[in-house]
Amino acid sequence: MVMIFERLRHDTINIFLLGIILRLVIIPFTFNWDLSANTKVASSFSFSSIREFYREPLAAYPPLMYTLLKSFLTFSSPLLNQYFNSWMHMGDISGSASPYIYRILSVVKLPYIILELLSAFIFSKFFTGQKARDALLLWMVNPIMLFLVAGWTNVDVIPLFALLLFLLFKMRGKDYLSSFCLGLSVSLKLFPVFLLPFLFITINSWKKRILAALFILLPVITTHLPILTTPQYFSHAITGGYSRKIMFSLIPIGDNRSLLPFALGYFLLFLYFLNQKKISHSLMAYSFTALIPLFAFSSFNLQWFLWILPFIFYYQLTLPQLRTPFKFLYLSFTSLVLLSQMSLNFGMLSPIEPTLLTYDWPLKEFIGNDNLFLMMNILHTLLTSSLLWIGYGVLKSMEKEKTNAQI
Amino acid sequence: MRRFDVLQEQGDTFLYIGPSQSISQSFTPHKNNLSSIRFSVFNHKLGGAGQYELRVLDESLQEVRKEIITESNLGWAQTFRYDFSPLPDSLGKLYTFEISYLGKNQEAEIYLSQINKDMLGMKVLFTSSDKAETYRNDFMKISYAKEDEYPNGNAFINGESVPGDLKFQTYYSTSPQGFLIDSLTDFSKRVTFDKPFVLTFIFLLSTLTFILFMRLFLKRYSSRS
Repeated sequence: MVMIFERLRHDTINIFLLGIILRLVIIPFTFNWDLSANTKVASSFSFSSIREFYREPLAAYPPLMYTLLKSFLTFSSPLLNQYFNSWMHMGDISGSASPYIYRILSVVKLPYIILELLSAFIFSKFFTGQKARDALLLWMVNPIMLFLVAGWTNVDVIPLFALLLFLLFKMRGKDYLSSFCLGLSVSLKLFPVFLLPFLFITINSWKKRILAALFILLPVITTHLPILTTPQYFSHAITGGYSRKIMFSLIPIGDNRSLLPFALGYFLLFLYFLNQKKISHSLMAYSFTALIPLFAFSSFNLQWFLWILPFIFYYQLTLPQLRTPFKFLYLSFTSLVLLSQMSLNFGMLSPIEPTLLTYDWPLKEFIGNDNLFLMMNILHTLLTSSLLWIGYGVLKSMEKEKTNAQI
Repeated sequence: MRRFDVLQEQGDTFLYIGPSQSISQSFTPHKNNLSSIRFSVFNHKLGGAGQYELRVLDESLQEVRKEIITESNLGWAQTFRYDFSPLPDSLGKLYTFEISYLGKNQEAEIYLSQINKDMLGMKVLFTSSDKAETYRNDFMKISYAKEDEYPNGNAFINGESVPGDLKFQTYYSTSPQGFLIDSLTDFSKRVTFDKPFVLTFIFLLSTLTFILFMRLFLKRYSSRS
């Protein structure tokens, strides 16, 4: 058995094969309503009626995202049969009960899986030798990654792909190319904007900073031009409910004034990194820790965890001494998923049994609202503690590396 | 345990249920032990005291189940779940479920009948006025499909057949073992229905698994990259 595992982890093709098989097994049998909502919304996307399009409350992503989602559908259409159109107009339970659901899910999810596999490949390029293959294996078999992309069909895999390209190019000293990729990622979803300051503090001349800013703005402005005067877009995508979630946690300090714990953590980190010498060596540390306040101090949507997952993998591989907090992090996140409403866990198996989608939150009936939310609060606190501890470990190891280099 | 049976999930308009406005839908269960009907409700008066009556009628329009609910039982944009003790021999029989408002208001009745006709795209005498708006906000509305989406039943307003169907789902009760058996039987039927896809999927999966197996278990096929 050990020999088989060794053959697996020493061979990139074997790892890819295993990853593809696992994903193939999952994609036809898992359904989340995000997929049907995004597919329905994306199929009606058109630049010619973009203002009308953003009147739809579910249209919450930037135009580049819908352009890609619609092109995914166009790309997949030869493999979808005539039932796809009628499936799109079905309700979630009828859609799950359709005998064509397995084909539809497999085909519609395929572009996401291809992007995820490419992301895994890029991620493995952060390392060399056997470490690169271990990174690939960790990504391919990680149950949370399988759940979030193959199961949930999380659209965030698209900006994540661009974000990983940003990190790779930045690691290789290609400032402008990395800036462009960061701009692309921001054009797809807002979260990579948190990494923007890092790019500027690592570039050492104002001329280069201005050029980098232009490379970031190029995709952002180009893709937003058609909707710059569409208020509905800004109310849905930029300042909508989900974005406000991040700002929910407050520490009151006086008359109509509060501190935002998420922003406090972020600014402190920014100041910390601003005072670092050889800042360019701390790219991964900055990118990871910059996202920590968001997950630690907001009731983030579970699918957002995908943003931070590659960084967790990175530090799992590079800082094995943090094994225990990583275990707690995985445990708390998995438990949060299991305690959530059924549509976010077992309900995703609705293509196997559509009734599963109708069980709202069965645990509430057994233990009551108060107890359930108390458990979820404890688990989120455990997740926050683990993340903060890992973040502290990352900064400490960075300091240690610097001291060793000075000696 | 309750498992889904009849599904009609299309809805492109709403019908109001107010004084002397009963809305009903007939349907034919595929299973015995019919025990739940769910429909989409929009209740403007959250926590209100207005009462609605839910009834299940058999083929001869005899009442077999009945429940009275108040506005405080109803949410805004909610799938309302009406669970009742199972009807043992429901398989293949025509049932009707009816929702009606318990209360009288002649003026509201006139306005709501016009509003409902308007919602169905029928000719109406009037629909817009301050009073009409008041009544729209005073009574519950339910989701409805203007086209005939459910072939095995009809919708009725005050007993009169109207085009289209209510958006509704029905469920039947079964034991955990029965649930599992029905679930697996249904799954095996659906999963093998789209044969070209099933064959391609099995071929692809087994080929990849075979290649991986060969590379892992037979030394001469394994390579190091």
